[in-house]
This record gives sequence, C-alpha cells and structure tokens, in this order.
Amino acid sequence: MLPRCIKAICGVAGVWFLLACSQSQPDLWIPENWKPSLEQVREQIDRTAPASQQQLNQSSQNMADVADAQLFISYIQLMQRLDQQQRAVLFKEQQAWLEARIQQASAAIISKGGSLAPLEYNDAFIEITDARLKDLQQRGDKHR
Amino acid sequence: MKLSDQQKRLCEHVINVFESGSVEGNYAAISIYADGPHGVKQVTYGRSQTTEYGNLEELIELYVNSNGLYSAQLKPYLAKIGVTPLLDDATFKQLLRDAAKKDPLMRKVQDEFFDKRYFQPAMAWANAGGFTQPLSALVIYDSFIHSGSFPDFLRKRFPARLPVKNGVEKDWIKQYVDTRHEWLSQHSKKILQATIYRTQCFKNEIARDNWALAKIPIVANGVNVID
Repeated sequence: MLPRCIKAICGVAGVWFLLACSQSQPDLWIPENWKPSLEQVREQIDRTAPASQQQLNQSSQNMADVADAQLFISYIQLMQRLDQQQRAVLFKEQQAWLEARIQQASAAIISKGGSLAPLEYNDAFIEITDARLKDLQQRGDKHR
Repeated sequence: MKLSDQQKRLCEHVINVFESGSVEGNYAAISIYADGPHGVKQVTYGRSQTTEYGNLEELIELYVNSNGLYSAQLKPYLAKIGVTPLLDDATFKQLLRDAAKKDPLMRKVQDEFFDKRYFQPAMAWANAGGFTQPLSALVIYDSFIHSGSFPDFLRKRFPARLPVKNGVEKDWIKQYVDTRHEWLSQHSKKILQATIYRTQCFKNEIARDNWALAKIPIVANGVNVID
C-alpha cells in the first residue's frame, strides 16, 4: 500500500503527464510524410505551346487551378501548425484575401467581352495566388 | 462596308483559326473558365465561345426553337442557364457537344448567332468609321472577337484619324495593327505575348497589299486559309 500523499503525487504527476503529452502532440490533420507536389504538373503546363486562343485560355485556366490547389495545400499545412486563436485569425484573413483576389483579377481584364479576357483574368489570378503562396509558405516555415 | 460572300467567309475562317486552330472552327468546344460573375467558374461553349452567364441561354433558345435533334433534351435547361451553375452537369455538357457534332442545325444556329453577336456589330462599327476595305473588316472583326471592341488606351497610342474624320483608312488600320502588335509582343504577361500570331498575320497581309483579300492563301498562325 502506498501512502496517501504518494498516491496524490502520482495522481497529480499522471494528470500532468497526460496534459504534457496532449500539448506536445499537436492536433495533426496531415500525416508527416504526406507531401503532395504539383510543381511538375505546373512545369508541364508551362512548357506546352498552345496553338490557338482556346488552347491558351484552357492552359491558363489549368495553371490557375494548379496554383490555387498549391495555395490550398500550403494553407492547410500552415493551419495545422497554429493554435486555435491563430487559426481563427488566419481563416478570416484568408476569407478577405480570397475576396480581394477576385476583385484584383477582375480589374486586370482589359478585353471585356473578348476571347482574350479569360487569359487576362487567369494570368492576374496566378500572379496574385503565387504571391500569397510564397507568403503562406514562409509563415509555415517559421512555425516549424 | 460591302463584302462578297467569299470575303466574309475568309474573315470568318481566319478568325476560326486564331480562336480554335481549325478553319471550320470548333462548334462543340466547351471550356470552363473562372470568368463568371464574381469570379465563379462557368461553361463556355461554341465556335466563338459564348458563356453560361452571358449569352448561352439566347443561343440555346434559338436552337430549341429551331426544333433540332437535341432541342427537346435541351429545353429544360433554358430555365437553369444563368441561374443554376451547370459546369458540373455532365449531361448538359454532353448534349451541347452532341448537338454541335451530330446536328447541322446547331452549327447553323451558332453561325447566325455569332454573326449577330460579333460580326454585325463589328461591321456596324466599321461602317460608322468609314472603312471600306475587306482587310479592314478582318482587322476590325478580330478586335471585336479578341478584345470585345477597340481598347481606348490603344487608340490613344497612335495619331491616325478615322476615315470618317478625314483620315486615311489604310494608315489607321496599319497604325492600329502595329500598336496592337507592339502592345501584345511587349506585354509584361508572357502568356499574352503568345497571341501575336493574329497581328503578325495582319502585318503580313498589309505588307503584301492584300486589302481586297484577293491574294490567297492567307496564312493564319501557320494554317493556309483559302476560302
């Protein structure tokens, strides 16, 4: 039989250990070794030489979709490294940024009503998204 | 602006090559672009690409009312186009493709629709500006298809006056083509530079004095257009 005070100490230590474990074990959403990459897909789209306006527009839309997917991955990766309060802040920041992206990409359209318009929109969309991607990646690196 | 049937066909075929890569154009072409209202993705369809939140409903209504092979199947979509997003509706997209590939009536309806939407406004602009040459018609039509009309900032970059304002038609067209070519070829966005095959084609035709579009073939982005 252990003395009551030792039992109490063991109990407190046990609770502390469990708390410590739960704190050192982050709230993981993504397995550590799962690192999807879209770089090669992007490079391949970039290397393809489109032969018509329709192909150029499709190619730029594909590139925009890949850039957006890359941003989505980086956003989730950064979210995983933040605490609850920081996550709420990032969520609101991203919502506002998405809205601003639509406005900025739309403002880049010079050829309203023309077949060049999707290309102008997508090109601006890619540039804006790439800048945000770099920003989120840098912030993710700081939270490692 | 008086164009013969052959001159008008040449204009359409050159633009078809610029847009789709083929002389006949791609009537069944469907693309999804994020250029809808508030950046939403939308279906873009047809030879000269009309959009779900733009004029697709009008085009499909014309086809439905023409009693085409797929009119009955497309009719229920009239109430949805521009209201319910259809970019993920595989049945709708397949019906559009099938109608364009298997029903000559859809191609005829598209020809009439795009003529009304793009060619006629372009020719009305040409007439109002005092243009008379078939090559001018081609350049003006291209600008309407590619840029929606004539971007103001480009018109301010060259001094020539419109023929209707006592300017010289060939000077205006040449200066506009050169200005547009320079804008595209030196654009900060590299991908836009890839579209200079259009202005290059016009520069070539101006250089060989083909104002009547009588010298064929016209080489459009590497494709010979003969009719």
